[in-house]
Amino acid sequence: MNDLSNMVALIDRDFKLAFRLGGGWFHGLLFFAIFVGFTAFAMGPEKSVLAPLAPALVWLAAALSVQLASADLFQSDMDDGTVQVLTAEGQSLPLYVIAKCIALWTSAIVPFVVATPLFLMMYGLDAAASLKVAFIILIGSPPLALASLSAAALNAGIRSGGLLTSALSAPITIPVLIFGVGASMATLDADRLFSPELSVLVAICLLLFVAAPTFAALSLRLALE
Amino acid sequence: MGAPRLVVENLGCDRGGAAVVRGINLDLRAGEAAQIFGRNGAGKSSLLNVFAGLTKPVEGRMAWTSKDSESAPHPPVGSVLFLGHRIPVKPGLTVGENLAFWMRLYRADKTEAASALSRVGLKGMADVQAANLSAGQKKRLDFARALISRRTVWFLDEPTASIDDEGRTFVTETLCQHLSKGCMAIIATHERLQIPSNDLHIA
Repeated sequence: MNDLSNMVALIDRDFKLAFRLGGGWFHGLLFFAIFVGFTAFAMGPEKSVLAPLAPALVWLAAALSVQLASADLFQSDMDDGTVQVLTAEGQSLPLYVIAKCIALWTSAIVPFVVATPLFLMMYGLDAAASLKVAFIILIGSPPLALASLSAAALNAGIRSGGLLTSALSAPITIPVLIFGVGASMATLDADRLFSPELSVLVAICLLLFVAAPTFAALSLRLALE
Repeated sequence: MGAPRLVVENLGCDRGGAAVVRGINLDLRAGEAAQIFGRNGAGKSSLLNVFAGLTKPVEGRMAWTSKDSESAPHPPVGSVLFLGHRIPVKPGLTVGENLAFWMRLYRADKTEAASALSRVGLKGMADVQAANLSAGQKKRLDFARALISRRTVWFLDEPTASIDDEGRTFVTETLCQHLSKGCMAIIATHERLQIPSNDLHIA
């Protein structure tokens, strides 16, 4: 990937693959719905019980959905030689990783983030609070995706399956969860969108924007050797 | 259009930590090809990967030189086409969509892509799902990449594997045309292609 047009070509290709028969765009959304729905059934219909836990449960569902959607992100391109060809032909692997991340985020993650307010209202939050928490999850979803794809790139060389991807991404996913839930709770408690927790979440996001593509590209390059 | 010069001295490479190839010497100029022969597991693909810069040699020296750049251990950026033994064809896309992705990366146009499909024997199959292609047809589709790439240095790993006699003739003729333009090809194969080339036999 040497410039924007190459990235657009890859995003376009991944979009087509995601939305075709057998594509995985809805996997994250489906898992998200199952997790949130099952949790609601397990905990009962009492809104006084569900509402205080809603941000934490939805954040947990989001984190696991992202990991499910991105666990095998690079495996197909590794197995059919795409990464090998791109590397040999001098394309930039960090830009390739960014293109994969954009395609993943827009096709598989945004759909369940968009659906988040509905599930939060199901848990008993009002519409305004649901939208605020959904907005914070929207900000937190790129770092979740970047952490997970870094682990997926590392796992592409080891070929140990999705469970290892979850384990490898945990050191970054856990802080994102802590500050994401913290920012959501602050929004609900103090009725203000911006909080110190949200600032830290944005900082983690910016840090990962810089570090994750490089780390993932290096992992893929090592996997070829 | 012209390829750089490749000078290799006493090159060696490993695979999985075990020594597979040692003492390779080669001087390849524009318009020349090299064919790497050897039994299965001898290290043909490993050596090809080293030439292509995918893996590092464990010993020896490799230098690519061209009139526009200093000597470098890797081929000039934008000069390489790599056809590996794995085929980057996505079963979920059609034949045309698969080639269109590479067409955009190589800055080729739709006319070139359509012409390439026709030349590799896939005319009229642009809308066919790639999942329905045979192994030989996938190989032909991958070779269509070479035709639209405009790259001067071709690395080919078993380019005639799974391909019928007619396809072999086409690959051979295409390589001859490529070399006649002053370009270069390095080919790992167990089946000799009828092209003028330097032979590298590895045990």
